[in-house]
Amino acid sequence: MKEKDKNREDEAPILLQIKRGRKLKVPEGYFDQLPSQLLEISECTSKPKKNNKIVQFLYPLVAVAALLILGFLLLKPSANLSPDIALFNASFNNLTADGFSDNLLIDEVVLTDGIVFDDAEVLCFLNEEMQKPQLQIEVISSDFDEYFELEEEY
Amino acid sequence: MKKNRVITKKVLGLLSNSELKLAFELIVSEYSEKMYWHIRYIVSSHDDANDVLQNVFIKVWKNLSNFKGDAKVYTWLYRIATNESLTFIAKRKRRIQMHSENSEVKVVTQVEVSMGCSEIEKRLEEAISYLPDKQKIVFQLKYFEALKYDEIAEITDTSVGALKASYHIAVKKIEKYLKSN
Repeated sequence: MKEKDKNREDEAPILLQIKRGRKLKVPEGYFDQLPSQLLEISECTSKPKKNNKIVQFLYPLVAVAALLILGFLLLKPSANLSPDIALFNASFNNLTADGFSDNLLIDEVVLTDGIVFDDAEVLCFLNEEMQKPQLQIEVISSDFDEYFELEEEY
Repeated sequence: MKKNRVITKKVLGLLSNSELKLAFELIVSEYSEKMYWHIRYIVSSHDDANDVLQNVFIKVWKNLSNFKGDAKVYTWLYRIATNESLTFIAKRKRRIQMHSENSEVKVVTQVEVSMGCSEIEKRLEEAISYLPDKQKIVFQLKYFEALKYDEIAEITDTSVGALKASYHIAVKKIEKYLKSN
């Protein structure tokens, strides 16, 4: 390993010609004053507090417990639901494909409002359909008489 | 290197006797100059280095009672000094960018060398100042401090392989700069 490191420095022989040492300028006498300047820190700054091991372990434990409680509170179903809402919610559990059309909750207005007809042909077709005469059935009172007679026979 | 181990033992001994102030004094007397140079090479100017050094020793004092000797004292110190210096540089860059329209700002500080320094020594200091921050750190610790790669790895949180590559690139860049004139 040492040989390998030495080889790396040998790759730059110019560095070996330079005497190792710090050459950057520093104010005169700076290093003489530095220790006393730094030791003032221990007098000016408050005494370091030793970390209590029990407290150190308690922090994560308390955090996890708080998260669990919060999660439970958020996910727990509320016990104060009104009976109507509870019944409505429960109805979703019993949905089957048989009663699908009866249970369909989509509003027709919403459906038709949501459709956009861009196609001119489709618009023309709809227009023509609307122009056609509508089938009208006239019901007169004698029709009901016949109906009641039939029922009496049964 | 043996000296560092002895100092770590002494510091731990003092801490076990709750002699915080004595432990701090020992650290200051042994490492303040080394830390200054380490920081100076990263932040470039003397005034900035002095400010960062103060912050480093404030952190050391505040956390000294929690030092358990998992690492050697000087590795711990270099780690704090490196992080503080890099944080300082990042803040300085952000500050300059805020006042400049150019988003890519490179801080270039004039290299001031001491009297009686030869031309090639001056050029070496200039070449180091042009290195990217991380290469500067690796070069400084390897070339001037003569630390081992595994010790630098512990300080910089980098793999030995990556450090060797960084050092090699830094040396090549410096060589190129020195030969260019």
